[in-house]
Amino acid sequence: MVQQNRWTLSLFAIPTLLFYLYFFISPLTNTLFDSFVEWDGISDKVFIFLNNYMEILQDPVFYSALLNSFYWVALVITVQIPIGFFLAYFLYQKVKGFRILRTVYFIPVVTSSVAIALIFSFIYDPIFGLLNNTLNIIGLGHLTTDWLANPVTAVTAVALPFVWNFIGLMMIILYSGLQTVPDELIEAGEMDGVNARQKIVHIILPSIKPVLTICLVLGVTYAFKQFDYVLLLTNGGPVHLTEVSGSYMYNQGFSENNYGYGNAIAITMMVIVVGLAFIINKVLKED
Amino acid sequence: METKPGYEPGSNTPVYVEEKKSLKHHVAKFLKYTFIWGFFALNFGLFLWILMTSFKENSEIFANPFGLPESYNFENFYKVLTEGNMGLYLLNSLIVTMATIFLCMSLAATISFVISRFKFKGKQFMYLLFVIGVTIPLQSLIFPMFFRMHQIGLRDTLLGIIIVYTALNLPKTVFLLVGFMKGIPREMEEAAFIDGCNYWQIFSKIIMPMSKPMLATAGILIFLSTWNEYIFATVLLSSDAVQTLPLGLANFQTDHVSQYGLVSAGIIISIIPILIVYIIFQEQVVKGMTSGSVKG
Amino acid sequence: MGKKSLLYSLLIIPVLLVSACQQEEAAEEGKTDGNEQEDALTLDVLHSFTGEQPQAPVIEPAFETFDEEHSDINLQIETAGGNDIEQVLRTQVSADDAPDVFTHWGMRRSESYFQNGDIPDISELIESDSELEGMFREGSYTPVTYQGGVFGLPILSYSYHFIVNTEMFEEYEVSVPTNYDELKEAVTTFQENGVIPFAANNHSARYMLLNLFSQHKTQEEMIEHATGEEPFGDALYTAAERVQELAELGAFPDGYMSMESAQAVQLLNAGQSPMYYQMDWTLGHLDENQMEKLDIIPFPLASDGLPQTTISGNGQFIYMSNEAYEDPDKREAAWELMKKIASPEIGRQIIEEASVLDLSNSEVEFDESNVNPILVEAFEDQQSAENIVPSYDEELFASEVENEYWPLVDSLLLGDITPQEFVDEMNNIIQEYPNVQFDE
Repeated sequence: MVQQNRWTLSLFAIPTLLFYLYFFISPLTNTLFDSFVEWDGISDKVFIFLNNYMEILQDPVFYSALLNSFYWVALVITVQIPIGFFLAYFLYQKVKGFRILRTVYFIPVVTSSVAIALIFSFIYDPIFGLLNNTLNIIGLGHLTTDWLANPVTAVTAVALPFVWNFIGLMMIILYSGLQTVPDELIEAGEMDGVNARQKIVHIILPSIKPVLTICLVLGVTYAFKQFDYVLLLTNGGPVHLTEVSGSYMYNQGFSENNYGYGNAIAITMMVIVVGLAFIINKVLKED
Repeated sequence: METKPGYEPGSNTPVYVEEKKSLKHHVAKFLKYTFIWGFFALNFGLFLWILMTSFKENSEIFANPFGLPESYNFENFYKVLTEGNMGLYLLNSLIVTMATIFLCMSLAATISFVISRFKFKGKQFMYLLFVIGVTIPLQSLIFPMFFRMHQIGLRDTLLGIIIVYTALNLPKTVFLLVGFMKGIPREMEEAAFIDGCNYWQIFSKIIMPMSKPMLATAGILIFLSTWNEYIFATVLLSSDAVQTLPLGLANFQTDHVSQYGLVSAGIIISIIPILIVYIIFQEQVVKGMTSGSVKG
Repeated sequence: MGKKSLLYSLLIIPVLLVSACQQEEAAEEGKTDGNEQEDALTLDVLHSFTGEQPQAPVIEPAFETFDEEHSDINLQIETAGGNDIEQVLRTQVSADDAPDVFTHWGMRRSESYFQNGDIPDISELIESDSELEGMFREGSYTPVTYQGGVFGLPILSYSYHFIVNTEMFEEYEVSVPTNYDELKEAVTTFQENGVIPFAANNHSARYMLLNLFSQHKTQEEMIEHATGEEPFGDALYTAAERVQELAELGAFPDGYMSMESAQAVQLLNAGQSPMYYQMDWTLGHLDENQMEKLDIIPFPLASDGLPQTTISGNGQFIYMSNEAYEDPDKREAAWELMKKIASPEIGRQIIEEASVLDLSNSEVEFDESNVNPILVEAFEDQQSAENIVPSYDEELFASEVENEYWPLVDSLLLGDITPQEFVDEMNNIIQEYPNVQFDE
């Protein structure tokens, strides 16, 4: 290999690094520092060191929000990514009409969460709503409920728009990954007469592992950070039942002006998600 | 990355299945198409619902939320574009989104190239900085971002929000690109080195073309998160002249009363440009994908 | 992407950035044009009355008219609709970038600004200005009175009203309730006939709790509870018990916990519910075709002999920042602007054009033929009340209390806690965060 001056490489990195340090990392350190203070945004900051974190450890609402976030993660892994994968896979196979399919699958992704939340609020509405009315028509009237307030259904009901919203996103990421699977590999498999299931499990999935990792990490971070559906559909209620960590952080920091506490929640979440990302990377690498 | 097929040739394909195959095959085919078109119907239904709602007034929406509108008049659209000032917001959103994509992609692509293709001290730390950026809930950066923009006098300007969006999207983009670039086989690059290519040539002639699928995906992702971004825009952009689409949409909803018909018309106006961009972009991407990986 | 397109994209960035800067300059110019004098004084204004906010059609142009009428003053107007203004103002103030004049809530959301000196005490300005004498109704300054100072001028009021659909009452042969027992009976009858008694969400239910409670209280007594001088007792207990009972009887629609006010009002508009108790800000959205059937009546009495009680007060105020106050020129200009927005003239326009009551001025005048008939009724309802008390939601609770109070009432309505637990918990919260605005 011809040895070049490695310093020219820094020209590639330095502009980005400076930009990133100045506009992202430095604000982030402010956030970190502010997680050690008690502050409403206006009055003087009171340094209380780890008190915010101690409070988080004893905050039952935080735990239930965290639990809900993990539930969202479970939905990402069991519903969102699998559906996204199959859609991508069928598109990749150039199923009939794939152009129009591809565009339409993408609609929820580009639709603002305001719109999606609006639709779901009309679906769930106990009186006017599509869901209850349909159940009544098909004779399952006993199943009707107040979807967003019933403790059994509320958490799932709030999570569904999120799951649906990002299926299309998972699809395009996986679709781009599928493009990199060498045709020879699949052809070789077909010549050996593998069936569809074997083809997916043994050829396709191992080939797109890097993209799968990306999907998982993105899905997990979104599940933890997303808060708009909760805010728009229930605002975490009734009585914090549907709160997820993202919405709880937002509500504490900005609606209730516990700015320091909100930041402490943010940092805690960050640590948890970095941990999860690490685990995902480990698991998929060792496989 | 190595792409070793994990299957064992010839295993599990007994011949006697053949006769049953056709039934099984049909069931599988049926399931497959139900799935594909079912999901299609769900999504298309969403779009139709918003479209139908945009022709209605509140009372009609509640009386008949999932039916066809009584009449098709474009009053809501007219109102949104004139009174709602959506035309200007649309332009602002386009400027902000496009500039963010360009800025963010160029910044991310160059550093991802360095992180993914070379070994050097502090590389892991550098990468970790970006991973942290992916995981932090961005809402927590509102205050410090505002201070920064105020400090450099860019609050309430389009340039300011472009910088903020670029910063917010940078970690995710780097994360995606590094992940993808790592998977590009080294052979071609080594051959190029031997041919005497410099770093820039390797970057622009080999890595960038090979990364097209992920560049496109990242571009779409940035597009989405900026196009629909609301929270930072609320805090940073408060003059009418610089506001973006999501702020305009939010104007139709208040704590006490929401005009769902207007909201829907606004949503339709905000979806259509993206779909157009996506359709055009996607054709490019697909072309790039089929040519890119073969030609290098 | 080849080298060419890469170069192209690297080239296009500066171009875009330049265009973005130009856009920004254009925006700046846009802000300043229309003003004749070059040395005009510039006031930064931040307000929340934009978009579909009911008062936007009056207040937004009012700022613009002021700008046009004063060639020596130049307004740079920023807006943040509804509740968003809270975050926008907070970030601006904490970055030392406060607007000169802005609208905001009273003590409950502005307390820390008063405490911290970001909003100045303007009592001297108020006292020395004869124009203001008698301009506002009694008690108007209460939410902006803080430890001896007065910090803002009232611009908008709120009031809660009880509306019944008389036609539905006739149809089901129910008498319109005047006291709680009759209300309960009405709820039961409607419920048995498959009618949802109240077009309500959880906010309405909370307002009902408040009304049932405050019938026993004068304004002074309500304040004593908020400051923690006097713990909540029987009155709150009974009120809590009754709202819980109403919830159990099915007085409220399914899903009322997560319902938007706009969805709730639709039940009344569609003739599906005969009763409604809400803030006047929603009155402009009642269906006009239903108006003839709708009547505003006093809220049913908790027990006979209690005074008819209306909850009403001032909810929105206009302030100037401390920086504006310290600059004599700016102070004068800001004061002019504040007075203009708080004036009875704007109040009249709000009633006539925005279909929302504004009772913040002492003399409320409007042309009856010009306004939504339900507003006239609401106005008369307010005028005829024997006892007018402020709302805890809007005025008297410190914001920390409000944050706990809302979910606590929800728990009560859901039956998660007993009325006694509710009262105890309320007392605990007040002990922790008493209202201190009346301390000297």
